[in-house]
Amino acid sequence: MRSPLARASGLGSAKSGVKHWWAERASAVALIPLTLWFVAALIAHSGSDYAAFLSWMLQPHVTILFIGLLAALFYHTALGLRVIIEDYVHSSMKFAALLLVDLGCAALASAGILATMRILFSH
Amino acid sequence: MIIRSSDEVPRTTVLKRFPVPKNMGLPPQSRIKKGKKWPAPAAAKRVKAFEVYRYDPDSGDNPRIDTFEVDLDACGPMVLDALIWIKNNVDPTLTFRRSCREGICGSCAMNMDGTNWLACTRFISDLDEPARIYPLTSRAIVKDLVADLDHLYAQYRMVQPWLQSKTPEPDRERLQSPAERSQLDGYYECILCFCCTSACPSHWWNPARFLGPAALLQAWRWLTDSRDEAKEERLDNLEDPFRLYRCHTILNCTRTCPKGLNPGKAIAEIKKMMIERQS
Amino acid sequence: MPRKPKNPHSKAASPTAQELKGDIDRGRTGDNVSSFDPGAAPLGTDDEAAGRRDTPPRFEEALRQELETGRIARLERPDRSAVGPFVLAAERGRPVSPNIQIYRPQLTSVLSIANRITGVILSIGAVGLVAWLVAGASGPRTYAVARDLVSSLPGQIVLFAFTFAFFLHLCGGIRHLVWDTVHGFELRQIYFSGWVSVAASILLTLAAWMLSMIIGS
Repeated sequence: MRSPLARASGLGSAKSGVKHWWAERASAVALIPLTLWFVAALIAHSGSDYAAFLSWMLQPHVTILFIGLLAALFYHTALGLRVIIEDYVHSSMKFAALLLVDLGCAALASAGILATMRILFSH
Repeated sequence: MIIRSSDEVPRTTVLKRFPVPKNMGLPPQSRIKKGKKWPAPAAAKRVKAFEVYRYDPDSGDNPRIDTFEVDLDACGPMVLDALIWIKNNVDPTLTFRRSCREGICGSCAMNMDGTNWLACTRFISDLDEPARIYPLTSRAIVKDLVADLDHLYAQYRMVQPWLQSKTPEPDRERLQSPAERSQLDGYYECILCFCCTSACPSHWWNPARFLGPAALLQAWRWLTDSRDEAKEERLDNLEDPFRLYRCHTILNCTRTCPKGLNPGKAIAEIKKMMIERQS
Repeated sequence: MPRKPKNPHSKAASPTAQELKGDIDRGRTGDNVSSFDPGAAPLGTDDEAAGRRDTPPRFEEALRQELETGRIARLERPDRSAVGPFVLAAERGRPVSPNIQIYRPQLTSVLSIANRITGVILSIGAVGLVAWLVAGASGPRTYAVARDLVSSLPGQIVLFAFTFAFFLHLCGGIRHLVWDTVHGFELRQIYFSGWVSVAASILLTLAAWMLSMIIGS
């Protein structure tokens, strides 16, 4: 039978949280030009074939922008999904879900970056 | 379409409530049943129906919705007047908090037609037919429209809402320039009615750990007070993924404040202060 | 009427003092967490001193009672890990007033949840992006499979939905970034920027698709 104050205080302040907040905003700001560039490129290449796709991707600036896009995208995704899980999941599943998100986003980002590099280096 | 101040009642309604089952997610003892109908006296000409949430802790029954038909010519213009009329003339067991009847004490905070406001400053004519009167959202209910606010007071206590100084007390007042005093405007006026905290979806899902807009607005009131010398401790206490950072700027709080205050902005100021001390 | 719990120990004989003490220590009864309880005098000491041997009916009854209170205690124990909306109220036996079931949808909450939903949709899209890249890196045939999938009618509908989700999340995100600089918090500004972001998302989606169709043909 805890007092209302004890229940409200919980385990005390974690004294952290700013880093996550800043990282979410920094990755968001990075994503604005990167995603707009990507969408514009998709529109510009509407209806093109594999050869056109390759010659576009082999340009060095495209490779760099793609890697930047993937890194920022999955970092922002991981941060955002973390907040969603913390909001709605309160059982012991929470930490499993957070692990899944963190590791999954790292894996997907790596896969995407490796695929980009593979296109670059095998042509 | 553009709401300019929180006392505006929207002119058009697309949805009265989110399209979810009426008792979704409510634990068994909270599910609401149908209640009684209390018709208006026969002589009444202007009649309005009020659907009121009722809960009797002594009976052990679930909460229910009673429908009261109110004679509008016999009571004042505010929702509180209608509730008092019901209590005096129809059902004396209807229980609700009220005191000042002028929107300054915060006692009669409740949910009317889906939004939180003070019953004494909400016009009956601004309500639907039938009007829907519920207690403050997502609170443990003591009886009828009386919510248990213990937890919210504990969260308020947690932000240490008093002046903290390290330098010795001066032999006269702690001086504050007019500019410094104006920093408190918009925050000191809070009447702690908890309409905002009860309107915040983030507080619905995390009531134990998220402090909520009311406590955080007061936390900002003390952070921005030039006479206070405990900014470091206050910010340390707040910097937590749940206490402060469950706020996702949903802004239901600012929309619902019956005093026209801006908790969303206060929280944004706290987050800005958090960043400023990092770099 | 509670079920009479079976004696979990012996196949034939009735429980002994040691067995009952063991059950108490292991937390199978209602009043103790499972930890060793030394006890001032071990259960059964008085009986031994009085010269009474294990008297089965008394221990049978004691074990039955202890196990029953244990069963009820386990049913009633609140889930400590759940700190969602209803635990605090339930602890005092009070009902909780409805929240999302009755609260009025407003521009504030609707646009906020839309930003979250579009974020989740875009997370799924990010997986799709990686899949598309991997298909492209794996040669012309896998790329052709991916391309046919995207060019099909359901693929185009999905892509259209993703485009709208993207622009809605983009405009909502920019709105959030402005709020982070502590600007635009007056109600009229909140509502104005809200409607602008919805309108801009629709216009940008339509513009993107019209451009795409013009270029593609």
